[in-house]
Amino acid sequence: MPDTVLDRGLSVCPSPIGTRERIVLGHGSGGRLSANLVHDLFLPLFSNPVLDRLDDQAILEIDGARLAFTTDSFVVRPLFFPGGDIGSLAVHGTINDLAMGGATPLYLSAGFIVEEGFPIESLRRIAASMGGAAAAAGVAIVTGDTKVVERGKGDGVFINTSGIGRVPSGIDLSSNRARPRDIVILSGTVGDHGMAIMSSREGLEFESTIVSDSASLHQLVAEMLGVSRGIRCLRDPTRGGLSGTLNEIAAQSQVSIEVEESRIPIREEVRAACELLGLDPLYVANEGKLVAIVAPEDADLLLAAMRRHPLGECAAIIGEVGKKYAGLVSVRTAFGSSRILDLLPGEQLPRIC
Amino acid sequence: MKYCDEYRDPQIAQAIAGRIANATTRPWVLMEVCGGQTHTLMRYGIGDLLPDSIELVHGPGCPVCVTPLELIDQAIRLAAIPGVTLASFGDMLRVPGSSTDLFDVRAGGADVRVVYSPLDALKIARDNPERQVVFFAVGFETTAPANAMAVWQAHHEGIANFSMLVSHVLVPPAMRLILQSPSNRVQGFIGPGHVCSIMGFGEYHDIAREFGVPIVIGGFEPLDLLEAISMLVAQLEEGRAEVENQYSRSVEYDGSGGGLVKSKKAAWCCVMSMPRMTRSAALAWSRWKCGNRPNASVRWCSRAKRSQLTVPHSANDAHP
Repeated sequence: MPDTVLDRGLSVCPSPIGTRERIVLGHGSGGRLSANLVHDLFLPLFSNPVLDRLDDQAILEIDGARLAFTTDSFVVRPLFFPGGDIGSLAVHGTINDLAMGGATPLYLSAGFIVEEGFPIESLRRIAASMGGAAAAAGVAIVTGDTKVVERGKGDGVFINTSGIGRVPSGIDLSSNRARPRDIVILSGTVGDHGMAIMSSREGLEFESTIVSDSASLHQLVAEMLGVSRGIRCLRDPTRGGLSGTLNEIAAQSQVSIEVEESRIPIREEVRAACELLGLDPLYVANEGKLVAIVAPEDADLLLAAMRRHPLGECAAIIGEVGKKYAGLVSVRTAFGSSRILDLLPGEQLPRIC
Repeated sequence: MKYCDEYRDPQIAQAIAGRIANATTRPWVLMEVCGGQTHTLMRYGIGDLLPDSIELVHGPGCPVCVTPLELIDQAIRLAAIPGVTLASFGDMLRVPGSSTDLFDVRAGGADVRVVYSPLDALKIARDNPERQVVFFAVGFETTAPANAMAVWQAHHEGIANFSMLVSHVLVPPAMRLILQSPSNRVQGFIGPGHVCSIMGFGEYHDIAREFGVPIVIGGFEPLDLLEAISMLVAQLEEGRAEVENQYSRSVEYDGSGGGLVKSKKAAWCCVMSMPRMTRSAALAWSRWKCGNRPNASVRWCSRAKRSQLTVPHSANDAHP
């Protein structure tokens, strides 16, 4: 008798395990498992009106001032990669989380968890990179902490940065503000950071010219806010890629989003590397890109302003917000057909940032 | 991308889709055999381009879906043994066994690695001589030569800490199973382009003749698949049941095995000895390896697990 899965019925195809008893790497992917962890574990325990907005930053009103506050941890491997390192990434990442709330970043904290045996010179290089990135962005690292763990209990160094910024009056950006007919603008090519990491990851090395797009986006955001008050929402598509970000916006705003695949800018070398490794660039992480949801009447004006900035010169209108299926993101292919762009089910490549 | 974009041209796609619509006079149910073809159909939304009367049923050609549950459980048990590194393709990690998956085992402390090639697993073995490295080798005829090559290489280098848990399957028997099923609705197959690149397509003539079903060996780009569907519809409408080769830029009648036989005789023997279905294939490989060369330094898991790794095994592990 044959003894394959066919015996168990032609329609049998094993579904991945949805509920888990312990943390797996996919919980840090920015995809479905990450979302489940936030919604099922953290939110019920921490719930409050500020947190429940689930934006990249908390917006706090204190004595008439509006402050943006955020935190992010960085566990990227390798520590030094084409186009950046964990230090500059830790600064850019937190600045960008503030900027996505429309805030002007002001101050950062820096927390280091260092593994016993880690070379001081490497730590110096990382700290110098952080200092340089902060200075270039016009923010100050004003407080910090260092912990050391036994050899084998860390992986070189992990960094946490928190940040505070000031939100100008009249700015109210949130992932729950997208409305039908709004326009989706992407600030540039997707997939660069993830594929730069991939190309230098131990065991996967391949020759490429891909460099990370790691950059501070707050000056681009300032230019954008200067020309348009019709911006509803800004998000930086980091872990989980463009797909993860669009799905979060669609879910929080209870709208559908449709993007045109042919309009999404992707570098040729990133496309080729993704093809080679069987990855979809729409799921690959970015560290210097943003997605803007903007009122239709402001879209062209905003796009022109973005393209004038070096970090937005490849900006493109990639899609539109709809209302037919709340929470659904779809892609219109070059063939005129559609496919659903769902959240990443698990990990694609762990420890990308 | 040169040699990719040429096969993704939207205008040509529309033209072929139009040809299919014009040629179709009644409902037809078609099946693409390979998971890679299914991926392309989904990725490009090919179904949207076809007339409603063409139904695509997705075939058995996903190694993940056809890997027996007990082998996944075996991989999970192996991975949990201290001193063992289990390597496999990324997709296999999320395939559930009876109660858990390899992701979960890894979270519990097992050394489970994702590799892109069996040669990467061999490198892990070379770099970590103190560990037993097991490659979970799944797939159809397509991946068999690469796995055989890794075995050959391991033997050639005398790497003793490298094994494979083999779950290889052949496509033609799977197609026969489908066609023999009383509930079968499939009237035409898009044949497996990569498999036929290795094996050729001579063996599909018998299936076409025996079951009166047309088979078009198809590629993996959207235009390949539309062209293959067009060729299938033409056959069905004309009442023909033949084997045709759409993927001629890669597939030859006799496959590419000839070169392999010449250059890697040992490895190819291993592939050629695969019998019809899954576990027996693994054991045949094992027999070849351990039976013909009892002192071989490369051990297959099906043998090694009893002598070296002490895996709790079930009755299913017995030789056929």
